[in-house]
Amino acid sequence: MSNSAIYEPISNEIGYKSFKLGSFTFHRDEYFVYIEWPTKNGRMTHYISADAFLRAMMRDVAWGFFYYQVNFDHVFGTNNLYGKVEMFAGSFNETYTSQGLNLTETYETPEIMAVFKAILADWTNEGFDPFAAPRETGIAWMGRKNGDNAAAIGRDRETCKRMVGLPGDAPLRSDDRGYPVNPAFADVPQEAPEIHAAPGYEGRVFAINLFAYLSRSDVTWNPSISSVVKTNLFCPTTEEYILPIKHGNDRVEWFLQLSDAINWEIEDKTTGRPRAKVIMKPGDIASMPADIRHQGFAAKRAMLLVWENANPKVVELHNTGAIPPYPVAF
Amino acid sequence: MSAIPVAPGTALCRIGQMDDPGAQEYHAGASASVLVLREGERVTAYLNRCPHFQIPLNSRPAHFIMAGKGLLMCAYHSAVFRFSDGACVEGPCAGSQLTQVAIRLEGDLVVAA
Repeated sequence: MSNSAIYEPISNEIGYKSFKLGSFTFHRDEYFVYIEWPTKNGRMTHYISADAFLRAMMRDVAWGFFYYQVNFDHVFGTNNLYGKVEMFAGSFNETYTSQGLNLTETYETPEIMAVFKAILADWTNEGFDPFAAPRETGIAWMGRKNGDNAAAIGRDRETCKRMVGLPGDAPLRSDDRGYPVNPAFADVPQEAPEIHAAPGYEGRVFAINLFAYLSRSDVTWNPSISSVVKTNLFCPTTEEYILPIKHGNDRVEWFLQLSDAINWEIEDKTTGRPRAKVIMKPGDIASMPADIRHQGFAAKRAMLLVWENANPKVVELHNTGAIPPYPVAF
Repeated sequence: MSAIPVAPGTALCRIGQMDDPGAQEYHAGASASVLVLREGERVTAYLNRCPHFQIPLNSRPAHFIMAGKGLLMCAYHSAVFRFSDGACVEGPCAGSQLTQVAIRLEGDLVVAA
């Protein structure tokens, strides 16, 4: 199907463009984003605070629709079908589905990506960084359209081939590279480990101070890839305020809390029913099952190690029931 | 550096059997494949492994996503690569590179060099 994007040629009275993709329309004003879609009772309008919408949109774009489900909130989101993308409203909220007020449409990935990038570019004002914590980026997202922030929304995700810091691989963060220590981690020691390789292993073993690496993270809720073994990805990250999406994964995902604390709200991936609250403190490890969606809340900037299984074969194994949605049964 | 999983002289595909622009996959064992890209007369080949998450660029056998003139998009997280040099020009691993596989043409046949 082709649901061509229509850009309204004239911006609205406060300067923002409106967008259309398939049956959905998107508008924004000083405070809110308005998403509309057709229902049996006429067009439904859903409101999201513009800062929350932009933070979620930033992740969906930067992560290339991520693993399966990215919920911007309890109503609107996308499902990555790995080649196509579903966009939905109310389809994973049993209140909407029980009333028949939900809509899901499927698009070619390049098509929806182009529209999402255009929305993000037009609706992000100068001075607002959707990857930053609120205390860092303030309230520039509000009000009439005021410039843009292409540098912030266009920066690359940090990914390594084997391990950050290895010769020829992604470099470590430093003051010189524009990664100062975040004020929240001013007390984190910056010493690097000494490496004494046995003869024959020089250049083949490597180590970094992971806490120092993370203390220089310039983004929140945006895991970088710091080491790779086949399809096992270690993705450490720093988290502050609210994970801008509710992530419904199609595989098991592991979290190891390295510092401070994160409170997680866990919901059923299909209905949105509450399933659990998890409070993670330093040293805690948790696996997020493949049949839930999760959202984290960090009152202070926290260090978290996310362990992802990138093996594409596990999706089918979960979907067919060949393996359970959790890694261990008690 | 990733090892190239095909021996020199291995026939990978025939240009005449490819779309233009188009992509074809040559399976080299159970866990590796080579991606052959064609645009007009220009043919290039790379390991079929996205540098973002080290997984194949396609989610379905023999199905690759074209993302505009001379561009291919990874099915998983939308990284966009140039046919001509394998550079990732957009997406979550922008600035990275597909691993090139040296080829030569023997008439219509694309052969690992």
